[in-house]
Amino acid sequence: MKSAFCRTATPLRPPAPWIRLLPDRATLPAWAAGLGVLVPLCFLLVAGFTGDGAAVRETVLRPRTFAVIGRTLGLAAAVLAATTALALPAAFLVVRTDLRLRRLLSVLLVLPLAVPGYLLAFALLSVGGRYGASARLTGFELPRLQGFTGSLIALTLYNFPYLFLTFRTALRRLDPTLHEAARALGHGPWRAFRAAELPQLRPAFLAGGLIVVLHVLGDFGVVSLMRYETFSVLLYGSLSFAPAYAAWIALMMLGTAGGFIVLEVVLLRGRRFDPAAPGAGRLPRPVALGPAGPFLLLALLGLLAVAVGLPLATSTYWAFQPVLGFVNRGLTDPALASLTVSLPTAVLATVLAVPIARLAVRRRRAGASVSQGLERLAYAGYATPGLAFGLALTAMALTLDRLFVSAGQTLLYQSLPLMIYAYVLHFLAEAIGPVRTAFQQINPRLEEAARTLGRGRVAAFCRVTLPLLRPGIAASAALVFLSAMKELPLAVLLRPAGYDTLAFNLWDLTGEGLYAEAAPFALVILVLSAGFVAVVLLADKSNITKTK
Amino acid sequence: MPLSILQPDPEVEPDHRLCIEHLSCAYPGQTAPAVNDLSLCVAAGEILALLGPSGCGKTTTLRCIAGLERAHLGFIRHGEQVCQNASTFLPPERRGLGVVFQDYALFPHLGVLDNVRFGLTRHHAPTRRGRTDLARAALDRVGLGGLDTRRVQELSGGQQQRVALARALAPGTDVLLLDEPFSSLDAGLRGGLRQNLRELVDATGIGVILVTHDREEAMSIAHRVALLRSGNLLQTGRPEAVYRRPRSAFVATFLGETNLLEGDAAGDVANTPLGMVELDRDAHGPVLLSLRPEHVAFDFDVSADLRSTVRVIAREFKGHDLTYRVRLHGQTLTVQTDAGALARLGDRVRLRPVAPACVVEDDRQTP
Amino acid sequence: MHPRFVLITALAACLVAGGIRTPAPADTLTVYSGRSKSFMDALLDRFEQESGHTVRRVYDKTAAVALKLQTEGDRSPADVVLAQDAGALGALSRAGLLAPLPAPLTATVDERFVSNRGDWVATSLRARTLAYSTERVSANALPQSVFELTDEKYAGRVGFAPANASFQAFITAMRAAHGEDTARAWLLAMKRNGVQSFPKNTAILEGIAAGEIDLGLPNHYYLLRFTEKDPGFPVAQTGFADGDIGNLVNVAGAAVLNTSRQPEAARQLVAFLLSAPGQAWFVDQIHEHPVSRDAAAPVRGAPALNLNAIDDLNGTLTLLREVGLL
Repeated sequence: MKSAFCRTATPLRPPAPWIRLLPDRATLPAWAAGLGVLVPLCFLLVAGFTGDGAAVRETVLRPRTFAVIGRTLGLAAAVLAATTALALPAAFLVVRTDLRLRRLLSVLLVLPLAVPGYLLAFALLSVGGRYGASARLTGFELPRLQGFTGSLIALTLYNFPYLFLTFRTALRRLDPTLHEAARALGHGPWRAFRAAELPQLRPAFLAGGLIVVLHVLGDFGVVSLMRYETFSVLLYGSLSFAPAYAAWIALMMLGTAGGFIVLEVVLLRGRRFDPAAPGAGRLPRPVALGPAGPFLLLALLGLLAVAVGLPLATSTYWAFQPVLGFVNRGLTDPALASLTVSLPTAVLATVLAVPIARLAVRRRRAGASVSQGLERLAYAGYATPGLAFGLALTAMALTLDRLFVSAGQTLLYQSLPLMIYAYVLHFLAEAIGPVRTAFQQINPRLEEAARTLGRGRVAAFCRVTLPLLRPGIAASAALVFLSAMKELPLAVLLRPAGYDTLAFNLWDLTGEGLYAEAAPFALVILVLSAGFVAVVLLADKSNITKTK
Repeated sequence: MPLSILQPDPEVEPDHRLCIEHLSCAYPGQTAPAVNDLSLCVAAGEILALLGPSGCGKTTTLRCIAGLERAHLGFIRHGEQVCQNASTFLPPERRGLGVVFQDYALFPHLGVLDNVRFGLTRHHAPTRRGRTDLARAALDRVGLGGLDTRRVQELSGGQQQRVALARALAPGTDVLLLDEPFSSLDAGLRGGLRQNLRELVDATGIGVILVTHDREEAMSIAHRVALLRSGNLLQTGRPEAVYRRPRSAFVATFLGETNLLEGDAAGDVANTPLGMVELDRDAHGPVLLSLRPEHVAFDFDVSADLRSTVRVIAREFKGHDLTYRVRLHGQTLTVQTDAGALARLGDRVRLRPVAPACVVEDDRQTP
Repeated sequence: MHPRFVLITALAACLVAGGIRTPAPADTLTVYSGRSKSFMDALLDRFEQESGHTVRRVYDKTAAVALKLQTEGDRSPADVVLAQDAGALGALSRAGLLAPLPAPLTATVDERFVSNRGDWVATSLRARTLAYSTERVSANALPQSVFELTDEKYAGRVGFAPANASFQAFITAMRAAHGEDTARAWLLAMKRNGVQSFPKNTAILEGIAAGEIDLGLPNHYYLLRFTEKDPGFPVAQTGFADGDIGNLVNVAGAAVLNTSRQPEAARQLVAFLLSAPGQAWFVDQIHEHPVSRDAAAPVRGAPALNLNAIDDLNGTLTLLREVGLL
């Protein structure tokens, strides 16, 4: 049977790459998340060009601005150096040596991640000095850490786990035969580590270091409480007096953040150290620490004591000190305010994360590089410093209200939805992680099997993929919820009247030196942080058990 | 706009359950199409094996038929229903085809019965009890009755395979698409399951397209095999016919061991290093011939023609038969004899074809 | 779909819907407060109880509140503004954002503490002082004028809070009394002398107690907060010589916005702040000085200056930016 159906003349050609970049059903959420951050940022330009241009230019270009740029970069470099100095040896000790308790420490050293920077600042500020907790309790007066030193310590303690994690993973993945080969070629143990293994940790250093630097750049709580004038402090200070100047500082912050991201990409280019041959899949013989072991163990425990124990101890101490009668701040209203923002944030961020994670895992229509790029777009909100994003959203809300709402009314400006919007995009990256891991564990054939059994696209997703995603979705939602409860810079800028969150109250009272009054807020946030850690560890554990 | 929009949909013979014509599919970012202008049909009660090395496009073809992959061009028809033509693309859920995936894709969050009941809707049985009965019947049909409360993780590989089969059959499809259904099972289990499948097809009259890279599996179970390479359909036919009369050197070697000989044809004979060889069809000029090892026999009388004597260089005893490797002008040939014909290593013997050699297309160079 | 998932989604939807509720119910007053939350929250709670109105509060720095009101213009949701600086109130008054207050209301306050236009009124008085460490500074070796603080012997020992509204009012007063150039020269000399900038007045006192600095320029009432909790707090305060600009007495004040949708309730709040319980709060809890005509005694050593003359906040902000303190 030969039919009239002839071979068609149309050549077979896959669509051009730029067509695959355009938004479609699969990539739309990623586009929305990326543009949802980038479009408001454009309003910073609007705000920057409002008002007396010459005066603004003069303010922007004065030496003080450059001094602040220098201070910010200096602090970032110092924190990066300090976190590396802590994280690399710590990671080496728990992965490659016979240190006692190294398995436990490997988990415990991640804990400081959960203590927000401003809480560490609270602890450091309220423990030292003549009227600090230490002097009042023991009569021993600890130095009161402020300014650069205080900021450096608080930011280092809070950030070193990020580098610790990436170093730990990288060290575990290193092929031990490299070390052995270097030893066989006549290098001593230290030279072998430096020559054969250290260069391979570079990608881990760059990835973790970028996170640390972005955190320092975006930090507001620590530097404002420690009175160290970086971009954030200058921005917040100028907000009251010169909004156009604040917008320019925000743009400079964005430029710096973008610069660091580009720098990371450039430094990483062509530096992929994929193993040339399949590794032996084992760790090299652990380095014997000998008599130094107990001291190193003590050092790590001491680090933990400062990073986690100190905040806990100081907030407990102050919580039982007398408070000023007229400072009447119940926990209920702030807790409700935090909840009202954090719950919708958690749900919405997770809902948005599901299609983006799906895109990242199931690279179907788009090529791998395209969907990877789109996934990165969803991280824009994470990389954008909180104050800059908040200011951009404020500028956008005012502009839109002026255009679309009748005089005397506001719709977006100072509204809860705007705050939630900011939170969702800021925490989206945290939501993507666990959902993506869950997706990776789901056989893509399952959804296809459901399709061939007569279920439509939506039904197949809801009846097969969603139930299997549930642990990942729960972990994502919990992570975002707890992070949102702790968020400070966005709360400072965007909270509507009557929505003073827990974090805002802690920051505000600590700034006034009212430690006893601030302590209950600190304790609540610490409890939430403990929950955060529990979720991370549980999610991690369930992943381990699932992969058999 | 493809030209095909101007063409009427092709006529399909009534007993063909599923037909595809001129199917072409390319993945983005790749220049060579994964499937290129493929046409085939499967009849009721027929098992059609799509056979080929890995990456030949057979799984892609199956996914295009199921609607899981979108073919760029081509026509797919299931019974009376057009699944794809220039203006139509039916989503997989509306094609009514049963699919068994290579890894079975059983839903891990559902039990055995719920897996099988998944594809059943009100349309199949108005009540839940009715749907349960249908699912139980499907499980019985594959010999898994009584396992319906088990979790799928607790089943053995063979049981999982049969659950997947029951799940695909339960909605009452008349075409089943199987993607390497036996590949992850051990050899002992395969034979029985293949037999079960063959019986099932004979009993129900459904049409089956089976994707496999295992030639023995294809030839033992399929009514017809379709051989694919690099997205191109090389040859279709009954397994015996394709084995005996391969169209090309690739088909000949893929379906079993063979001796490829170059020769100079003149009519129904050709002059080869083995001497004059009878051909299966008329040919002229330089030809490539395929001669199966079992179609060659030893002739111990070496005095007749010294030119075509060979030396035995290896001997493998396989129980019911013997395989010899012999050396002829720098080429190694394989000869398979019954255990009675004895030759020792180093013996000089003469080879004698016992069946006509096949004239095959020389497609050895193309990868 | 799983019932639990539906439940969570519904819960979230409710919360979102709750957030998008109407801006404010009819009887809600919105107050923009440049006075800190710890000062005002409990007092506003009391007003809520007594009047039955709900008060939405937005706390920020005084200058920020003033700027915010000017940015928002006719679409500001605010009804009442509270500020701790006559300059900020003066700027709002000149921008035409404030509604005139009824005469009976302003009549209870000494006329020195009412705006020339009658559109803002002081609610309490606060004096600038010199705070010093009782451990490291001898009480009889204190400077007699704020201008002496530029002396070399105070290098690195003095702290102030340039972002604080009261400090900014003090600079505005210095500009008014001694001229722009003197003020600029003083600020630059202080900077050269290693003055330390603090974000808030309380932080200055803490800094003295903790030994970071020896002298500071806060408002008078903050110290009482610390000594109340701890009588041994090692900080004391005093004035400069009589009439020195460093002894400036500033006001904290209130005004009703032109755009207020509930001017009646707004005036009620201002009246409450001036009433006996309101004034008692400022005096007893925050240790400020009262303004009501019968209670106000002149504050000792204050410079003779009409507070209406120190309303050029923008000029001060420009100056502070120019010298690099903001």
